[in-house]
Formats: sequence, structure tokens, C-alpha cells
Amino acid sequence: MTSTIEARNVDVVFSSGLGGRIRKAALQDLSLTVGGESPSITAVVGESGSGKTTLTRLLLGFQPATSGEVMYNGRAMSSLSPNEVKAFRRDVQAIFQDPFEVFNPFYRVEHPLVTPLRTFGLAQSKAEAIHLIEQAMETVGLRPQETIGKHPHQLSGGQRQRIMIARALALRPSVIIADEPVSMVDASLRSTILELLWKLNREQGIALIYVTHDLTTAYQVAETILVLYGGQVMEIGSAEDVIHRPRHPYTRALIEAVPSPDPDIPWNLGDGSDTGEVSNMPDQGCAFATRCPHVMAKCRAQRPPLFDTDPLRASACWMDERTETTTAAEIQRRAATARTVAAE
Amino acid sequence: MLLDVRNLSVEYVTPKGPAYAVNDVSFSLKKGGRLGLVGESGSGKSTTVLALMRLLRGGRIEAEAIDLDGRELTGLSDPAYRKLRFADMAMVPQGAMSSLNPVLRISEQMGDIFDDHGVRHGRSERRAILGDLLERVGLSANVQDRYPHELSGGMKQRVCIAMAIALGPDLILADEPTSALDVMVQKQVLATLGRVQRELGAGILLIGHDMALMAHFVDDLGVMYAGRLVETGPVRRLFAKPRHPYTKMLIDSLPSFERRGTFKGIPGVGPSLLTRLEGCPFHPRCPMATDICRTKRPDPRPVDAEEPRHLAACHLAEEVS
Repeated sequence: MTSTIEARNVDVVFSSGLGGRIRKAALQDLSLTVGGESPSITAVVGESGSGKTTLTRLLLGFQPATSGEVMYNGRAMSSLSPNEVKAFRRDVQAIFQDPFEVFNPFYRVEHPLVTPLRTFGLAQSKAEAIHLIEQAMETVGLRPQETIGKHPHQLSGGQRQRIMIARALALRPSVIIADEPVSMVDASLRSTILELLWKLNREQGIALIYVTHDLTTAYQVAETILVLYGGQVMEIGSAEDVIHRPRHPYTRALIEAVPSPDPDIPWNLGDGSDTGEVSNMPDQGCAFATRCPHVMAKCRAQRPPLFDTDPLRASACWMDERTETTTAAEIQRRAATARTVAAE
Repeated sequence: MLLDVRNLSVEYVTPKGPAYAVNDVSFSLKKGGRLGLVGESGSGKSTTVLALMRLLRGGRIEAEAIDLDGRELTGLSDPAYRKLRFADMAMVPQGAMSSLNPVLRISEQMGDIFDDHGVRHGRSERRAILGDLLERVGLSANVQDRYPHELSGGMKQRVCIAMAIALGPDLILADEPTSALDVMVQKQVLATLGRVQRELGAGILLIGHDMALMAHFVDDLGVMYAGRLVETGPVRRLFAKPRHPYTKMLIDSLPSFERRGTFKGIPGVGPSLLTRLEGCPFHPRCPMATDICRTKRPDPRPVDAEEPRHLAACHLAEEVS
């Protein structure tokens, strides 16, 4: 089973200081697949500093891997020809967090849609481009006649984010990488935008990476949830396993930090005395060791690999130590097989 | 009552005419109580708080009454208001990141609050007082020697909480104090805010957009839409029996760990603040709207036989289910 994009044992290390002596690992030993024969939605959940933005940039080809390889349709991304890069740019689309920043205020809102359609040769004339844009806008629930010709400031944040989804859609991609697409959208519209992304996957077979800090919306849309902390995969598995039977102490802490929308379900707020924050990331061992309530000597010395704990889930915690280890990509493949079997 | 606000309105002058940011908002908060205001961007929730603090830039405030602990604030002079801030009511701002002065040590900016209110301390006494304040919000006393850039977002927000409680105010106004923070830090900071508020016995008005967070923090909740308070009441009552269709739809739209692949968004977009819509401001998006909703504006009224404080501004409140 080939996937559209595959990261294989990727490290991304940023160096700074004199002669690059200060080295900071933004991603460690990450293997992940996107797309392929069974396109699904994978949520990447992490707080600030978790490496989720680096991961987004890596998958979009904006960030080279320090070691390891990112493959596109089975070929190393670093060895693609200019024409293949152009094909990649059409095939893999991005939706970003801020629907206010991505527009040039001087152009009408259809400008960022017309340009790529022409560049990638999907439309031979402007009229044809407009026709495709109208179709895409209708798919995302915008009325083309009320949208085309407007300037960005005349539209709300939710409308602009939908235009960005329409833009991604119009290019007929097989993969969309959505980086916090709803965190700046109002609550009443959040659900609508997520439903749209969900439908793109179900109805058009587009594979999605949904990058977010919000576990509840990750659970709402994704089949597979990957929990990232300090550049390391803490846990990956089916949404059900990760949310309802979490293994990793970090996943459990994240879930406990989310209040239920039902005021009658108790939420232990505590008194705020635990002031641990991501500020001090250890250089070796488990990234979560400095905050983990179950930390052992081993955790500080050696980074735990992803232990193969369950059929559809793996946990990188010494408390879950097994003889077998696995990768996030392998768990995704098993989940895809399970889906295919279930569908038949 | 600690705070009683009656018919507060705020208008901004724009090149396209007046923008009605807040319209006839009334609410009250009892001593030591917790009131939350939720709403989307542009619903007027932050403007309401800034109007209470009299920190609005350019907006015109009108109010029948703003009563703080028996004192009428509407006619108060600006110098008197200046004395009131921090001493009687203090604000925890939205972006702690940008509300601290980057070139002053924490001790200097915290010290300003005392200096401005004519509170004099000796050097070591001031140090001890600031250290104690910082420890109350879960920071170490020597954070006062640091500059803002040396602190994380959560630490800065804690400093802002320490500043808000410095003079022991009766009322804390917190404008989305945790929305820029990571989930786990958000929980810790909110817990800290709740603890110091309780220790102080102050009332708190918390502004936010996260209904689930509110559900677990406040006693009473107000839901704002298009500059109006469309529903108010005890938070559990509101969640159990919402009486305004907007509140009901907001609650239904919340994601939870109980449901996957189901989505209940609210169709449409909020109205422009530049026009005064006839009838109910929510009618263009309301699935229940009838003729009366398009022509007559509903005023907040009691809608719950068992809970007289539960008010909703909806003609069809009794039919919401």
C-alpha cells in the first residue's frame, strides 16, 4: 500500500548560536503516512512547542529533514524534478490558521483561487477558472454571486476560511494539510467548517492531516490521533483508544485538562498549584519526563520508543514497555486495513 | 449586590455611521459571585468590560445605572475613576503577552499600582509585599526581578492576576484571561484565578467564548449576541434548559468525547453592527423564527417558573426544546 506522502524516521534539528552549537530537536524519529488507497483523517494534537508546525512544514515540503526521508508517491522529496515539485504543489494543499493573514487586502477574494488554477493549467481561460471556483464555493457552502468580486475585509473570518478551503478543493488535491483551521473561527461556525473537512474526506476521498491543540475536535473528525509533545510522538492510535482508553500520562493529562460541555460532569480544576510548563525541555530521555507524575530514572536517561501495545495503538512510555516496538506509520497502515476490512 | 448594570449601551463612531456594539445590556453580580459572559467575536462582550472599566477608545457609553457596591459610577469624574481602578475593580486583560511593559522589571510595573494609589512602602517592605502577591498566584517571589520576556505566557498571565489583586478589589473583570494559553496551562491559570478570587472574596466577571470552560467556573452565565444579552441565568439552568434558540444551538454545537462524526453548526453569520436590525437580532439565523420575530424586538423576560433569575429575550422561549 503506497501513500501519497510518507515521512520515514525523520529528525528535524534546528541549530543556533556560534557555529550551530546550540541544537534543538523539533521532531524526533517521526514516521507518518498521509493518503494512499484508504485516505483518512489523522489528527496531530500538540501544544505550542510540540513540533506540530514543523511537522506541517515538513509535510508541505517547506522544511527539509535533518535526517530520514520524506517520500512523495514513493520518491524522495529531495530528489523531485521541478515539474514533479509543481505536481506536488497542486496535489498537496494547505489550509492555515489565520483566515485574516492569508489574503492580500488589495485583491478581490477570488484572486488567490484564479491564480493557482491558471498556474497549474486546470483552467484555460479566466471564465473557466471562475466556473471551477463557483463549483468549489458551492461545495463549501458559499454563495458565489455574493462572494466573488468582494474584497477580504467585506467577509467574515468564517467566510474567508471557507474560501481557503474552496481554494484547496478547486485544485483537486489528494491531500490537505490543515493547520489549526478552526482555532480562529467563532464557536458557532467551528462545527460547520469541521463538517466540511470531514465531508471532503468522506465524499471526495481527500486524505487530511488535521493539526490542532484541541482534543475534542480531533476526536470529532479523525480516525487516528497522534499526540505530539516536545517533538516526540507520545501516543498514536484510533480515536477511540486514545480518548477513551489513553495509555500515555501526557495524553491523560491533556484529556483531564478538557472540561466537559456538561456542567454536571465534574471537572477537577484544582487550585492552580501545578505550574509546570513546557519551558524546560530535557535534552535526552522522554520529553515529558520533567512534568510526568510517574517519572522514573530511566525516563530521564533514555527516550522510550513507540511500544506496540494494542492492535491499533502504540505508546512511547516506559510504563508500557513491551518487546515489540512500532512506528506511527505502521499503526496508520493497520488502521487503514481495519477500515478496508470493515467496509467489506 | 456587588455590581448592578442597567441598560448599558456603547456606540462607536465609524466612517460608515454609528456601530452599535452594546445595546441595553443589564446584569448584576452578587458579592463574591462569579458571572460569565459568552459570545462570538463582535458580540460586545469585551466592549462591555472595557466600558465598565472606562477604558474604551472612542466609544460612547450610555447607561441608566452602573452601581458598584452602592456607588453610582455613571457620573464619576475621570480622576475618581482612576482611583477606583485596581482599588475597587481590577481587570485581568486578554493578552497578558502584550499588556506588560517589556522594558520594566515585574517589580516596577507591580509597584506602579501602589505608587499610583498613594500607597507608600519601604524598600524591603515593598519587596515582601510583591513577593507575597506573586506566591499567591503560584510564582516564586523573585519573579519580580525578571523582565516580561523571561517569562512564559502562563507566567505572564499569572503576573497580571497578581497585579489585579494587589489592592484587594471587590470586583475582578477578566477578559478571556486564558484564551491565548495552552490547554494544560489554561486549566492551571483558571484554577489560580478562581482560588485567589475566592480567598479575596471578590466577585468576578469572566468574559470568554468557551462555553464548556464557563460551565465549570461560573455560577451565572450571560449569552451575548450582536451586542445584546439574549439569555441570562444560573449556569446549570441554562445548560439544562436553554430558553433562547441561540444558546441551545451553541450548547449543541460543542464538541465532546461522546460524539464522533456528528456536527451541529449554526448556519449563517452574525449581523452587521452598523444597522439596527428590526425584530430579534438572531432571527435571520433562527430556525424557529416567525413573523413577530422579524418585526418586534423581544426584551429579556423570566422564562423559567422554577428559577425567576433565568431570563431570555425570545418571543418563543417556551417552545425551545
